[in-house]
Amino acid sequence: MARPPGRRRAPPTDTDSTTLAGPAFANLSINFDPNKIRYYSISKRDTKLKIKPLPMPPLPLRDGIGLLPLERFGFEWTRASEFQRELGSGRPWVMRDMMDMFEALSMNSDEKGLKFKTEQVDEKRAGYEVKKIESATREEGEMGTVKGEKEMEDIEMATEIGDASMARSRKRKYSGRGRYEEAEEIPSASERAFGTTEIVENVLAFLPPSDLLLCLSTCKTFKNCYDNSRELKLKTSQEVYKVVTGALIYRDLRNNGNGLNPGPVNTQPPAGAVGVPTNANNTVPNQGTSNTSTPNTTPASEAPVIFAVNKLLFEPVVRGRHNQAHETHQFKGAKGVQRARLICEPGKENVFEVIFSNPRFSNGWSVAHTGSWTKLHLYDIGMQVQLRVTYSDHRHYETPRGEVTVTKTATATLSCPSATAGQLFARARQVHAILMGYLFVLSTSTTDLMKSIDPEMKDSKPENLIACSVTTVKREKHLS
Amino acid sequence: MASEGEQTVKLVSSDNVEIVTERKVAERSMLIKNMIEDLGAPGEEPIPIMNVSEAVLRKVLEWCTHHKNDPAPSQDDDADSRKKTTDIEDWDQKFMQVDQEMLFEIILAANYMDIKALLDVGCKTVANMIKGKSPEEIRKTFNIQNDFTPEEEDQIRRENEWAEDR
Repeated sequence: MARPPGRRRAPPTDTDSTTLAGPAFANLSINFDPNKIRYYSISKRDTKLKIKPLPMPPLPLRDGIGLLPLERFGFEWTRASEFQRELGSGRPWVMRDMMDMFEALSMNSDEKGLKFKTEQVDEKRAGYEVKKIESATREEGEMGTVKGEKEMEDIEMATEIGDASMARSRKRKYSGRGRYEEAEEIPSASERAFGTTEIVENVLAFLPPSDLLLCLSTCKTFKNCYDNSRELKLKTSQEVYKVVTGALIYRDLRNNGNGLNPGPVNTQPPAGAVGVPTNANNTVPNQGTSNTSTPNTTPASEAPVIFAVNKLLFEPVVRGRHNQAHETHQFKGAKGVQRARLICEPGKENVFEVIFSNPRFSNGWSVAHTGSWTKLHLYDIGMQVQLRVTYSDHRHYETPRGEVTVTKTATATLSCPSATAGQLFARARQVHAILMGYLFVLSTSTTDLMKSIDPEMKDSKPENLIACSVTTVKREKHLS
Repeated sequence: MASEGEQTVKLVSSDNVEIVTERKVAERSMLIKNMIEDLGAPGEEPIPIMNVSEAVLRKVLEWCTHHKNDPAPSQDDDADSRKKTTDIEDWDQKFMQVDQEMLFEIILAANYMDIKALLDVGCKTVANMIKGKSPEEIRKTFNIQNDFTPEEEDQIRRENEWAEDR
């Protein structure tokens, strides 16, 4: 049986009407206009899947500048009318039709060289920051779209309520297929400025010391900038003097001015002197410092020396027994050191105690050896300090043979002229190496150290080389 | 041939706007000064200022024009400026009366173009805004996010609380 000719089998001819062959169609004629015929590329896959065409909503027409909602997701509704004309209004669309047509148009557009010019214009509107205005000018050429669509502006307003620094700019890029891609957000100028270390440091450098220290808790950027800036630390250490309540210590100046061989110390702070910042000389006017209870008190005519402990190096909370004028300042930290503190006791030389422990079980603080803090003085320059270095290792552990208790302690002291924290810690480490020689076998580094001090190693006792006195050595090991 | 003072240079902002200015004005920026020295013939070749938009560049050039006759800062001046107060000249104060976004844009531009004096003026302005404020107020002013944990913040506050009553 002959099949009725389909459109594929019977290509259109120039005639207006065609009489079909075959007996069944003898009297049937079809009006056929080849100019009205349109071919659509419907893929086989669509046919196989039998995708039911969906009726499309009425297409919006562009009647002004700006993007229609769907264009923001990449679909060019401006050309929808063209699609409709191409496809014919009687036939419902399928998505594949739209995609094919759209792709073809996009390729044509690329060939004809669509040009987009982006320009950014800053504008302020109604108290908000209008950050970016992107205007895209499209030269459509032969695409035949509606007149007036050649220039298209996309106004992106980054409006933020409140502070202007909240405003962020956004850029939209044309990806070439009718899609606008959201580019990465550009941070605001204040964010970029505070993200630049040099600028933050410069800003902080102009702050007075007290404001500088206060603003450190604003954010980590400020804190890190201060921690890594020698200049900022010096600024605060040079200009900030704070005498903590009860931390005033008086020394007799009659013997010598550096605190050696001190006489009895006036333990009573002068009236009104508590909490008073020191002046440039770190001295306060004599305010009745004589203490009748002590025989060798400072005469009223002599100004007492006041120790202003450097708060940048010590914990702010002073564990002091104020009624006894006894202060202990916990050091903030130094690498390998378990603990360090400055002990100020009346009638005695100030002691800077550095305690080491077994690094196998306790690493100590992890603060770097180097840094601006190493150049800071513990307290007023010119005062003598006794460096006390202690190694302390107490352990208790179980073994198959029983419980073992290990106690190893050693203490050495030496007098040091006023030195920076770094110098004192370096000295403490040397003394610590000597103590290790008492408690353990001397390490190679210790021998090297001794050689560096005395190349000929004339004196076998290391403490003589460093001039420290080892006061306590205790090495015990119990098995129970 | 025009003398050095009369020579002009072409600057191109990040948004491709060409601005012609005096060489003396432009040379307040060490970046431009070095570029001119490298290029050799100012005025012919436009100098791109990649990170600065037109509006900001015009503002920066306005400052440079006003300060074009200022003596070049020495190394000692830089060190001393730290110890100085945050006093700002009247003209500079008025110049810096812009919105915060523009202020930081100027600071960034001054940093990029290496104009130390302008950078200092900008930083002084910001420092004046910080002065006397609590950390919370500073955050609010500059829209800074608090990235400390409460414990960390408390610790820093305790460390520095002794400075509060100064």
